[in-house]
Order: sequence, then C-alpha cells, then structure tokens
Amino acid sequence: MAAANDDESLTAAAGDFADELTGTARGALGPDVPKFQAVVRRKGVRRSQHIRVLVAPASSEGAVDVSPIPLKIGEHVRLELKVTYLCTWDRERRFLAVDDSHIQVRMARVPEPLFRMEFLRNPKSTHVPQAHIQVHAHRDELTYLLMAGGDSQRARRRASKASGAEPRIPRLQELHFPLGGPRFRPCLEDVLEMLIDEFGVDATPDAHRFITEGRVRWRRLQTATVTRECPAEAARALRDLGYEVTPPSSIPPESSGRLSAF
Amino acid sequence: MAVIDKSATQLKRERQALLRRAGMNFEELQRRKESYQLTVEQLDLLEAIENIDYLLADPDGSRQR
Repeated sequence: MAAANDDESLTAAAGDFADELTGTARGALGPDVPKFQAVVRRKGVRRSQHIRVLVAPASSEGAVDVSPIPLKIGEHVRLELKVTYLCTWDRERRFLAVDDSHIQVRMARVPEPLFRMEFLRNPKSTHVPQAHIQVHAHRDELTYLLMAGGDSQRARRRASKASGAEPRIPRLQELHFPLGGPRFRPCLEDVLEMLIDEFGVDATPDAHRFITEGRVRWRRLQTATVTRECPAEAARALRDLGYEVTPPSSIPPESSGRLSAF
Repeated sequence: MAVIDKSATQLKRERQALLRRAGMNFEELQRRKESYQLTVEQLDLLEAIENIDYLLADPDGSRQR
C-alpha cells in the first residue's frame, strides 16, 4: 500500500486499495461483484489517535455492512465469499496497514463457513498464528486429539471445557493452521484462483490475468515491507546480484519480531 | 475513489439500527454465534456491528458503544 503521511493520504490509500480489490474481483468474477469501499471515521478523532478504516464490499453506497460476493457455478449462485479488511496506520505512521483481514467462503445462505482465512495483527492469544486458516468440517481423529489434552495452554483449556459441567466438544474449526505469518500470507487473489480452479466457480475469460496482476501487486508490496523490516538481508541479496549498496549513516534496526512472528 | 466518511454519531446510530434488525442485543448475538445458532442474516449483522466497533475503538483498543 502506498506511503501515507497524514490521515488524508491514509484515507486515499484505503480508497485506492478498495478500488484495486473491486477491479480484481470484478475482473475475475464479473461485473455483478459488489463494489469495495473504504469506510473511515475521521470526524471526532483526535490528532494523536490512529484513524481506522473498513475496506469491504458493501450492499449499497455508504452502508457499513459487508455484502457477500455471490459465486456462481454453472450460472447458479452456490457459494458466497465474504471479504473484510480492517486497516490503520503502520507503527511508523507511514503506510496503510491491515489490522485484521477476514476471507471466508460459505455455501449460499448457509451461516457456517466452509473455511476462513484470517490475519490478525494483534491476536488475543500468542498461541494463535497471526495468519491462519480454519476449516469447518468434522474428523473423528482430530476431535479425539483436540479432547486428549496435551501439555499446552490451548490443549489444557479445550480438555477442561470438554470435561466441564456443561461439556463443550471441540471442533476442527478451532484449529488455526498457520499461513506464513504477517508477510508471507496468501492474498485474496490466491483464494479466488483456488475457488475457480477447484470448484469451477464461473469466471470471466480474463480472470487469471486479473488475478495474476493483483497477486503481483500484493507480493511487490510485501517484498518492500520485508525489505524495510530486514534491510541487512536485502542489502546482502542485492550485493550478491552485483548491486552496490551503501548503508545510510544511521542503520535502521531489524524488525526481528515480524520475522519471528507465528 | 470509494471512500465514505462517517462520524462517530452516525456509526453509533447505524449500530443501533443493526441491533434492532437483529432483534437481540450484542451479547446475545455473540453468545448465539459461539453455539452456531444465528441465521445467516443475523451473522452478517453481527459482523457489521463488530466492524463498526472497530471504527469506533480508541487507540488503546477499547471499544465505544
């Protein structure tokens, strides 16, 4: 996402992000995809506060709901895709950063998703990977493992709930499968391509071009972010390629937290 | 560009309207979500309310209602 030095440009960056998502989703799935919009609360926010932005497809202009994107198979709506990005400043107040993202796929008009891919910049528990996928399904062996209660905080808590006065049977969707941390996580385009290729979701003739272009944009952004977080490694790689790299007078510290994040 | 500016007052008003449409309070919606007892419409309303709460939150993460 573009560098943003004040709230005005942050909002503009969020608007650009919404437009890009609309372009990719409509380019891949067709013109019926609802338009993504950036909803921002600026009025009444003190200068010292971080403004926050919701980027999602809306049912109508100005609405704060998240409209499901209908996915057709053989011209019939079979699935729904829900996409939400909650955004704010990054730590240096330079770039639009995603706080939370939620991408979920469900059967049309069925509340429980089939799966959901989420990114939580600040998960409530350190034992939950920041980027993860949860699959809503059932498998006896996994239920057994979830109830067996090994020696970890989450396992003990699940086992305790399962044997409590009002037993709660754990479900497969309580497992958070990690997806590469904050920087190497999949993007919306990956989900779109998977849905088209695996389920035969109706797509436009140019779908793969739009998806590829969107994915390249995403990965370039992530590459730039990783470079800022790990400049010594970036410089070493560039020197290996024959570039001359001169460090600045004050070398920025490496952001080891992001590199090691679960 | 698709940017919609909302004041805190507008967001709070819309939050109330969403709760009225759901027909129950926020805590009840959350409780029913945990036990998979919401309809698809109620679930979508709850998610919209949670998004409003994110926009209304103070920088320390505390939520305004």
